[in-house]
Amino acid sequence: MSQNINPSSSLPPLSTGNVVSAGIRIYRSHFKQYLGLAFKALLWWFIPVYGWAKSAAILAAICRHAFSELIDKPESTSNSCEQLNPRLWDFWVTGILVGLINFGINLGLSLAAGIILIIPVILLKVIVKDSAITTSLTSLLQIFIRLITFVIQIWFQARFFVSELPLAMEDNMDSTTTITRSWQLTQGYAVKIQTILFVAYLITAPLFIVAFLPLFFMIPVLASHPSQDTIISVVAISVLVMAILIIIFSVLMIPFWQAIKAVIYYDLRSRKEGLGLQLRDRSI
Amino acid sequence: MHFFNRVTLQTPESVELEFTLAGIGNRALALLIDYIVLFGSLTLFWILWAIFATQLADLLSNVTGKNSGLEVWLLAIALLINFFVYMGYFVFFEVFWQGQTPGKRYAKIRVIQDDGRRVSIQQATLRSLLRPIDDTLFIGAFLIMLGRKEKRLGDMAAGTLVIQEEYVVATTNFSISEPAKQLAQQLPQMADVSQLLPDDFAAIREYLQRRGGMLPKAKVDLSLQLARQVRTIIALEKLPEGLTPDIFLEAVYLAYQQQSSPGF
Repeated sequence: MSQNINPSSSLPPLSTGNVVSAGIRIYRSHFKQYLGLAFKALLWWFIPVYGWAKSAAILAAICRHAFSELIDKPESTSNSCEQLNPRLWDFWVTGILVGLINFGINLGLSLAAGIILIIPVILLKVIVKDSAITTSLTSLLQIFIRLITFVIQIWFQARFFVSELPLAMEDNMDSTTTITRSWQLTQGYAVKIQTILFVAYLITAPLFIVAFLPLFFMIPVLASHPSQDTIISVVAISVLVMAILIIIFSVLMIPFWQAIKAVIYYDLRSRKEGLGLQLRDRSI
Repeated sequence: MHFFNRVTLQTPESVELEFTLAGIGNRALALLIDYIVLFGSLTLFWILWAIFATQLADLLSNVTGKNSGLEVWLLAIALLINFFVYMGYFVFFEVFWQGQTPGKRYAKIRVIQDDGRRVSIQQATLRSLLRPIDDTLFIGAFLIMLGRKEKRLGDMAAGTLVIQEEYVVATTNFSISEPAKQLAQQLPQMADVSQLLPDDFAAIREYLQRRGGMLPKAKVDLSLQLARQVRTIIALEKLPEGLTPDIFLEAVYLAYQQQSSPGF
């Protein structure tokens, strides 16, 4: 029996680590174009409403381009942008809808957490008279509930992570269908998506450690008991340098996250719809 | 576009082997898991050691009546053990688990020598000793991301590579229905299964293996499309009644397998 045959030119379903590696590879080979787009998106973002829609569409165009590389039908970045321009407002509405859903989820979670927290506290007050025990039990309970709400929040974050991508890649999508579809695609893959995101954070961590270095330069200066004015100017300069570095690195990271998003979307489609799974074209 | 780096190695026996390199994502994931396991065990060790050390010091000062300075010695021993556990973890697993630590096993990657052989104890030790340097300021991560052979300092010094475990064709993990088995017997008389190429067969097998995780609608569309293509290829004119695309594909899969390995 023949071994190791890849049924088509496209990739097989990817492991967690390979999603991250593929994302980096795509970004590296289109570094200038993607960075240019990310910068454009950032500038548009300063213009209210229309700029935000434009910015969302440009970011989606990075994903669309990365996806076109993955399915081996590369298009130019300008072509990706042109394709998405008519769907500008759909991206805007999608962003608002996802924002609203998240807002609702967080509101519901904090309400639920409040109710869950208050009942045992009242019960404890009645049963246990010792206030020291009650306080420590309550704070323990609080930590536990915080933890649970955090887990639920990042679960939803993973489920909505690719919410605008169907709109960017597929035809006949609007702001609501794209969310429904991404919800279907991510079903059962929340943990995997979250692991991918965590590994990706880990890899980008070095850049942000560099951004915090100015703070360390502050320490020797402050240790030498300088005057009030020197302290203020040193802190101001360090914070400014740090802020600039963080902005630069964040812009650098935008295409990285968009590429990872595109690979996740590709992987989900390949797992859930057998994307790329076909018999060879015999018409040639 | 190639998404993963590949290397071709020549073994001492002049056999050429091709491997896919592990990639930064898999290596970061493996390291993350290893460090969780390692620091978990070390924390446990320090807690147990602290309990043991205080008990022992108490006991001794009760017996001898004076402070013997034992704590410093115990601390020194503990630090030494800590160091050996940290180094030994990677060396032990990489040597005895054929180049895999628990993290690497989870991420499906392994360490090999530059010529494809198993990693030796000296090489594993060298990798392990240089690990702290690679971890400082993420030097190793940058080297892996930018280098064509994805070698961190430890890999360069030891002459090792980290590769992905080759994608093993899984033993058939899907069930084939009864009607498909019957149809597979008749299929060679009804159509020309030999027209299928190994690539087509692989695609059918991929589909049968992965269909369980697919969305219902996508599965229906895909199976129908594949079944139509296969039917054209094997020139099957008349389809038996009540046949679903899935059963048809299962039958073709079986028939092809039997035809290519008679006596199966």
